[in-house]
Amino acid sequence: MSAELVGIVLNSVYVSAVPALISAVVGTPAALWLHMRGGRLAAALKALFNGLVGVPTVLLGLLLYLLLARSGPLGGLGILYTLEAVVVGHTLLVLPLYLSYALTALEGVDPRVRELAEMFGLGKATLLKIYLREAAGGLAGAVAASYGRALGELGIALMLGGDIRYKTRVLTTAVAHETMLGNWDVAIQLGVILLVMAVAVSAVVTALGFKYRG
Amino acid sequence: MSKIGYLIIVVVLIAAAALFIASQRPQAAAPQQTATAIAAPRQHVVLYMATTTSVKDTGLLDVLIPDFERWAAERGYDVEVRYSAVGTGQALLMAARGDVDVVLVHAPALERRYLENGTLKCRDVVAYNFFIVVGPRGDPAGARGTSAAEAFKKIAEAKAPFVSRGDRSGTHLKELSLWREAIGREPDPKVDTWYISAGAGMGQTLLLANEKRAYALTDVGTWLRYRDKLDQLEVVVPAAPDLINIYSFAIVKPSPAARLMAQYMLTRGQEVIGNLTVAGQPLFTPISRADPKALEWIKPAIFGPSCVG
Repeated sequence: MSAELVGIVLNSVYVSAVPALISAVVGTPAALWLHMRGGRLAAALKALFNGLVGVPTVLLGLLLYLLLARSGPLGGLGILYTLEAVVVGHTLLVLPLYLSYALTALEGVDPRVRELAEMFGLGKATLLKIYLREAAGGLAGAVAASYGRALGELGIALMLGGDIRYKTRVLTTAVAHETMLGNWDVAIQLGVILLVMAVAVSAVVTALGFKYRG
Repeated sequence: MSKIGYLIIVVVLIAAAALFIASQRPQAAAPQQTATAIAAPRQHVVLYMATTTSVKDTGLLDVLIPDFERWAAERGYDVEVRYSAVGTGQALLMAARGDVDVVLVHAPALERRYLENGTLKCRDVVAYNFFIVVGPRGDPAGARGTSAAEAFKKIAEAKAPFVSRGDRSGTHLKELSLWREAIGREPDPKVDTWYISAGAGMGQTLLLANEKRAYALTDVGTWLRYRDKLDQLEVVVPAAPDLINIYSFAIVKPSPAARLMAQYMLTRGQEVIGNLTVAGQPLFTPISRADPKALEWIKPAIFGPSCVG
């Protein structure tokens, strides 16, 4: 693999793994809290997250572009056309997806767990731990899905990253670029790398989820 | 609670941190700390640039920008260029909104307007090449051997498919002015079904023309770069005075870094632009190497204050 290709792969990992991790770190407590709280708010938010899962990436890209452009309100940050801007965009893209999957996973936990925990007078921390353990497989799936979605995303990476060679080019924008140049061989090779990265990480994360569950 | 779970989270976090640092390093390490006499405050400056797709698709930016950043570093400036490759029309709109510092564009008539309304502060012609008309092998419209405007007229009369950039780029604007000259109006993709408005960059437009066996107006640089993939197409109208394609560099927001880039474009950049070839053929002619005849054709496009000196 050439140094440039390694750079592109690392950029891809960066703009997909970091948003997936942020989603897991922020989304798991939020999902737990919402699930434990229950009621109408949880139902409404879940419906909202489900809806946001399908948000068109070009729309999200456009909104963030307007925010981050120099003439926009957050222009002072100067992060447009950097990988950091792509990370921000991908995090906003995959967080609803993670929350939606995580809530579904938590709903799959047997409700009797809660009753039993109350019966035995287990503390709240223990209860949450049991919930996490029971839902581990589903949560791992949510992380894998978030990672895969961010990895294969093109619109945000192109609009906020700009596909700058050696700097913000990621696998998807490289595929688009090579296709536009008519270099279909290279584009297909990059596509295969993309596929392998998505499937491999998904398999590993899912396996870990089941392992954690025991 | 298994320890493996914690371990994996820690490992992944470390890996992410390492990746983040690794991705930062090249930028931080690139400019060497040379103690030059002009040691200006060595502060990291980001220069935003809007360009046309033709300079990206030909690979010019890939050599020009890293070389400029090195050149600037040697002079004690830590400059990073971030570009957006769009059409000339869109590039100048980005300039008008204040989103970019400098532009590299190729539509002199449009540049004049933006120079007059104050968006562009100064402007230098840096290079040129030619537009050409390409079309399907066999030339079904019989457009060969004429001027560009006549060729366009024949294409319209034959209702032969024509792929337009349709993106307000310099090439598109040139194409529209040729249509006005040829048939007295701009084709309307809604009514003129033979006129395909692609809304794409130059390279993609050529690939589309190849698929559809259609005519197209292109710059020579992109044509040369893509030629081996365009087996259905050939040149119908070669380089001619009315098809000259003039690239200029203009500053939107003056700053030492922007001025440095203007200076680069007219000195070392000229060499880099001239050395870019495909199969031995140069894609652009730098203005410093222009032959007298071409200079005559370029003269009307030299206007506005220069960004250097």
